[in-house]
Amino acid sequence: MSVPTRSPTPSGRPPPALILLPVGVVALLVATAPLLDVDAKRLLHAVPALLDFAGHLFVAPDWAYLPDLLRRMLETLEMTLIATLVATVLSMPLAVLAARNASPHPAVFHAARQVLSAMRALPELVWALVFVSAVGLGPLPGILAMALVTVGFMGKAFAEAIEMADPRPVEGVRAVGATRVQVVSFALLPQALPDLVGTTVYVLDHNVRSAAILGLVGAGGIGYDMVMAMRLYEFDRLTPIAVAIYLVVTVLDRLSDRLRARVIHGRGAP
Amino acid sequence: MSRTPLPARPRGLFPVWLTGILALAWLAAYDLELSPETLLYGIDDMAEYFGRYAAPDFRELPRYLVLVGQTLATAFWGTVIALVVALVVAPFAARPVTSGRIGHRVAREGLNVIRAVPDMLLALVFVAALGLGPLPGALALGLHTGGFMGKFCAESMERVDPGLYEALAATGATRAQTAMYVAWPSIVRELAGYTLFIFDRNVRMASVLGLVGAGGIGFALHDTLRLFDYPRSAALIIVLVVTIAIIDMVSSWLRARLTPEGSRS
Amino acid sequence: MDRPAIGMPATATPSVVLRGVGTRYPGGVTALEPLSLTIPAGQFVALVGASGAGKSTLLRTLNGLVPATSGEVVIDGITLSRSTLRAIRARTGMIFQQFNLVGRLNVMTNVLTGRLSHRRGLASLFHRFPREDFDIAHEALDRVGLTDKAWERADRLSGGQQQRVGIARALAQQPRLILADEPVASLDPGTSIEILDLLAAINRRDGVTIVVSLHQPGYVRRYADRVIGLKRGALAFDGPPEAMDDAMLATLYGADAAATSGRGDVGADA
Repeated sequence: MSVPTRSPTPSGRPPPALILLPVGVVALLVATAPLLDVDAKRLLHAVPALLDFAGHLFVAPDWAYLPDLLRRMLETLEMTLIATLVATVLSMPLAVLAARNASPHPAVFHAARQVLSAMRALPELVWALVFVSAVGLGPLPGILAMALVTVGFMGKAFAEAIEMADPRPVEGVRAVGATRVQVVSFALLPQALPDLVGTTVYVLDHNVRSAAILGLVGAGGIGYDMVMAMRLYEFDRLTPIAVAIYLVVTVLDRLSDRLRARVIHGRGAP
Repeated sequence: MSRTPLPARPRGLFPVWLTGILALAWLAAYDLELSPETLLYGIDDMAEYFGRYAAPDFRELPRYLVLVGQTLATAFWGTVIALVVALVVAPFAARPVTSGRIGHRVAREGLNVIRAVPDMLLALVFVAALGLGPLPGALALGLHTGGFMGKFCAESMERVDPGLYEALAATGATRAQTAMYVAWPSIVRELAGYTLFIFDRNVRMASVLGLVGAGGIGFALHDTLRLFDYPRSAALIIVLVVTIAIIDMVSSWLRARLTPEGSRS
Repeated sequence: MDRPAIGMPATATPSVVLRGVGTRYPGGVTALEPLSLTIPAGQFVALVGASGAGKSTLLRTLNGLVPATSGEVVIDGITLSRSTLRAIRARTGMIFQQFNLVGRLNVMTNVLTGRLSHRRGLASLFHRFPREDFDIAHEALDRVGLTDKAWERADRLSGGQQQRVGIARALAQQPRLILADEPVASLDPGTSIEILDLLAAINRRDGVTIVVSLHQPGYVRRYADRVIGLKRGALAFDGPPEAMDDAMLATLYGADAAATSGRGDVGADA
């Protein structure tokens, strides 16, 4: 026997937003289901297949493959490092042009913002596809693709950090007769720099994940081996690859959490 | 005139870090056999190469639009799945709400694991189990981004003023009640922001999931590029850019309304 | 006047000449009614008036931080214009209520920014300065007694210390004129006296012209050779501090202020 309940609203019914939102979401899910070929029977059939797959994962690794795996993983990390570094350096001047308070002219500001958002628009994999067909297979197209998207992302983030800078030191440096570029270098960049570190660490984390899958289109890194192992059902390789990716991503994730906390709360602060 | 001597200048570690990073990058470039010449030749070729995209072919636009719809639907399903994962797991992963040390550990590690496995790998697995199509893509996105959503929400819950938790605990409320009456209501705004962020990200990812056979516009692009059909590839890229730009605009508009100033007006 | 201005001979070029200088902000708000005045070299001028009377605007028109919309500003015989702006700022120090230091940079770098107008090369952008500039900065720091803090971050210092760094930055410019915008409004009385004593010493020993906006009549009487009063953007008083009686204060600040003038803290909260 259930006791009748009412909601803590004047009408006693739950607030409309709390009903409408889930109903709307479910309606949209149902409406889009045909586009996805959602099929309950297929989903149910998939369960044993997935269990079967999961069972295969627990195999002894192919030890002979291990040196190759390490080599690929190293390549992945190297790609990440180079792409992130190059992008950080390139994004700085672009960010200065794309910050309202540092840009030499409103037209330049708008143009720089547009360029940055165009770079960000497409995911790395699409750029990688394009670059692979431009410069051939290997880590180079992967680095180019990652660097391009990263410049777009960091340029915007860094431009916003510059815009957040306290205007008072800017006035202080302007008053001594400094040039526009000197004002950027002495008043704006020092204030935006902590943000740059935080963004770079975040991007590094994101780029490792990207680099791990760029191999899918032949753009270097561990991704290619991963796809091949999956396609050929080489579970004795797939499991070590997955574990390796998991380890690298997790270590970087932890590191970036810690570094970001340190930068945000200031180092050596009393 | 005699001056007070300057104190010894403290040595910052910055030059050491910078040198270290540059040296590492140089080693990496050397190891990857990247040379300036390759890049310069590349730039030369690239100008010619990108010229091939100059004449986009939009004859199949209706089919592309269906693919865009499929991509968006995949992203939407993925986001809803992520939301469900977060709704269930986040309270366990948040220290003030969790029911016990073990539950907390398990939830935390579980979220870490699904975050660490790339969604492309998950998509490969689901395609193998379910067959080709967008559904495995949606599942992969949902599971992977569920890891992010869960982590973000749990961290937000931990930032909520501890006094609120204390007040409810003082009334003798259960952990589940704490989650429903303090944790979730306190982070509604953040949750909305995270959902938008995840949806944004999922749209981008859904557009490339086709590379592993998980449907969407990426599948078509992969095909046309493999066939060196540049006009169609160009059309697909343009459609994709426009779609992502529209989604970006909508989500930044929504985000602006979510900020405290926006909601007050 | 019982204290003669030492330094510049009386026949020297006037430090500041304003001819019908007025400022109107975009949108039509008049910040400063057109006014004319001459400040001889070596004078210590106090600028008084209620908050919003135009003191800050007047000070900023002198070095072009706020462009005058009418009239002519002549500093040391040079008419302020786009082409002379940097040359004038180079020899005009400015001190601010909120110090306007770059908090993340160390004290030495903040003082060295005073040399920026003389260093247009690329090196200055990368925070490299010649030995000579370090000597000048060192001497400036010594004058304000902060040599021992040279390598500390500016935002780690107390308010009074930060203001002394601000003065050192102005000194590093080797200025002919120092503008100070409520330099002691954020400081406690003891520290305020230290700061104003420093400015007075610079005025007397080096013959630097000083224009300082001050709220406290006590300080004005103690330090200034001449008082310029502003009321709602217009010149309301110009004379020796002895002539600044309670009636005058009442006109400038409103009736309440005159009664509290003895305490010397009128408008210290501004």
